Amino acid sequence: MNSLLAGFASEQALGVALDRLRAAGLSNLETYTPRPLSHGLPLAEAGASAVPVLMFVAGMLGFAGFFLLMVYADTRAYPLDVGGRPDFAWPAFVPIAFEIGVLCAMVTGFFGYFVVCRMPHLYDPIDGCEHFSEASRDGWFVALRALEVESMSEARRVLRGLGPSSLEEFTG
Amino acid sequence: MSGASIASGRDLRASPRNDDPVVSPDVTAASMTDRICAIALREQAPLWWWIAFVPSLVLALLLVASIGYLFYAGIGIWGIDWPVMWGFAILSYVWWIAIASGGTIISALFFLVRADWRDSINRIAESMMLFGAAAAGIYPILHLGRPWLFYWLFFYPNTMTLWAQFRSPLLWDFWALLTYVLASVLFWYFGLIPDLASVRDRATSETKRRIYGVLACGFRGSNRQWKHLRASYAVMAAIMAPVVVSIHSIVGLDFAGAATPGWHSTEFPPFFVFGALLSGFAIVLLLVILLRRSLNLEDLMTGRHFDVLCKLLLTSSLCVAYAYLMDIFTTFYGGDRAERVMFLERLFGSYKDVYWGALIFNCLVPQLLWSRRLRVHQPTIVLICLGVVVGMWLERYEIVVTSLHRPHLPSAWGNYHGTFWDWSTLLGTVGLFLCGILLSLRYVPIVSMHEMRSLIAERRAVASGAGPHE
Repeated sequence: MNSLLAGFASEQALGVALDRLRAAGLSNLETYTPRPLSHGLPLAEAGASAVPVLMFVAGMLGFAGFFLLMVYADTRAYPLDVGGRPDFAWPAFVPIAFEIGVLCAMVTGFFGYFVVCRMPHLYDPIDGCEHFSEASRDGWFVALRALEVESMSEARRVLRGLGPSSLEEFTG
Repeated sequence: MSGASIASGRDLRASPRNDDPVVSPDVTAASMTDRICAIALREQAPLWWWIAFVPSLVLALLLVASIGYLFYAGIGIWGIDWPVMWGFAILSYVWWIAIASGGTIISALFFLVRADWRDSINRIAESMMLFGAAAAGIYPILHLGRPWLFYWLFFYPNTMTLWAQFRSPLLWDFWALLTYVLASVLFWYFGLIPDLASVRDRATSETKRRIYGVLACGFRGSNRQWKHLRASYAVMAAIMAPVVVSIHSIVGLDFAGAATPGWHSTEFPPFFVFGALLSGFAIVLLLVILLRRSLNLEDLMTGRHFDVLCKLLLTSSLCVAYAYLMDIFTTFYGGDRAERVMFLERLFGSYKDVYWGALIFNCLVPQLLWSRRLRVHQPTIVLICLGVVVGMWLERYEIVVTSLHRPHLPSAWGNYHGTFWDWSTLLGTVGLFLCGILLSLRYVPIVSMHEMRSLIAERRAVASGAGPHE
């Protein structure tokens, strides 16, 4: 057993626990909560997500790529004279380029999320903790993984002092 | 204060009020999670579910039979013929995509503006979006006549060195629909992942735990997972809102791009978006009224939801009325004789019931919702919404059929009526939609639990005068 999972009854109690653990020099913390942590809590704003950036890049590439493809098709590969209208009818290319750009962004966002979060991750040792299922209901948990022996005892001491609703050990 | 009135024992079920809180103060994150998960995990479906599902399934099978016969015999089994070459397939496609679009607006646009009433009904709206888009997506393929060649709409290297006609709104529509359907599925599933994890953790049988576990993909609510989910979902919502406007505008341009009397108008894109809002709000209201009672969700879907949705329905009805007025104005101000002839035929000709029906159901009847009392009177709301659903179908019929039956050349005039197979396909798509909704009610968390938890915490913090933390 080298990891700890402590459960708290409220987000506020979890916030206090995170502050104390960090003050004790324990920084490898992971929270498991029924909803996103409120702004202002430790870990709530731990860096910006890369997924929106990936979505933006994919969307722009999709837009530009298919816009250029349409320009190539209509001006070089297969110019089509419809009522004398210009081959390079760029406003008419925008709707399809927009839709494909959107599709690229959505698909990237969806799969990018799984890549960034390393999902699917169907089994984790933490699932064996008795009270862990409360994390998807109204339980607020903090996990400290792969602790050294001294850190383990220090973490246990700090957490016990906070009166957690559950404190479990697991190997992970 | 309304919250106090509920806490003091007022029965939300018996008498929803305009000033009800968006969620009952008695609801906690735990109680809400247990109830919603129990609905998805129950062993036996209630009787009402079977009573609704069996006829829906029969209708869906009728769709399969209709499509099978269509593929065997060709589109000659439908009522379309010169000059009305667009019939039930196109008008029903537009009708369904409008219904789906309304769901997207509620789910995506009102997420962006942080509307608190959205949280308990967005899953219903998204389910409506998903199955409405599925019902809509079938029609263009069927309407192609040679559906096995649908892949010609993609651009791909081919031995004929042919490219698609990128300047045609019909091709734009193909890409818009494809994007909309795929993006809707992704958006719906993405928002569902945390709730599938909640159901997984409450499942009592190993089989259900495994199924929901696989569907939840290992979501455990870690700070990393929430951070990326929140950011990604917000961007997806920001994308879906313009997509829904784009798809219905492009559907409008399918018509406006043609020189047919009654279609060739620059007002069509916004006109179609208004219609999408109206029919979408009507179906969401119908579903909310039916589900809150049958699933005992009165404390999550309160009088406030009726009030807001009815106001939105009224607003979109006024927008549609404006579009109808502008339709009349541009026709007679424009001075095109063919336009005038077609429009007078629309008002007083053989399809006059369709036009006046659309006007009454879409513009006049919803005006009842100016009454504050009627905005929470459920039987009235149901009747108005059913009227709007029918009225919007009539509007599509009016746009598609009455315009085509009076083209510029009098020698090409002709009438149109749907055949048995037109009606069977339409009813079949209704069955498909209802089957999808009922199956999602049976197996999918019908309320977005993770968003409701945030809302409940917010409400409690406000009530106790505390900060954002509990």
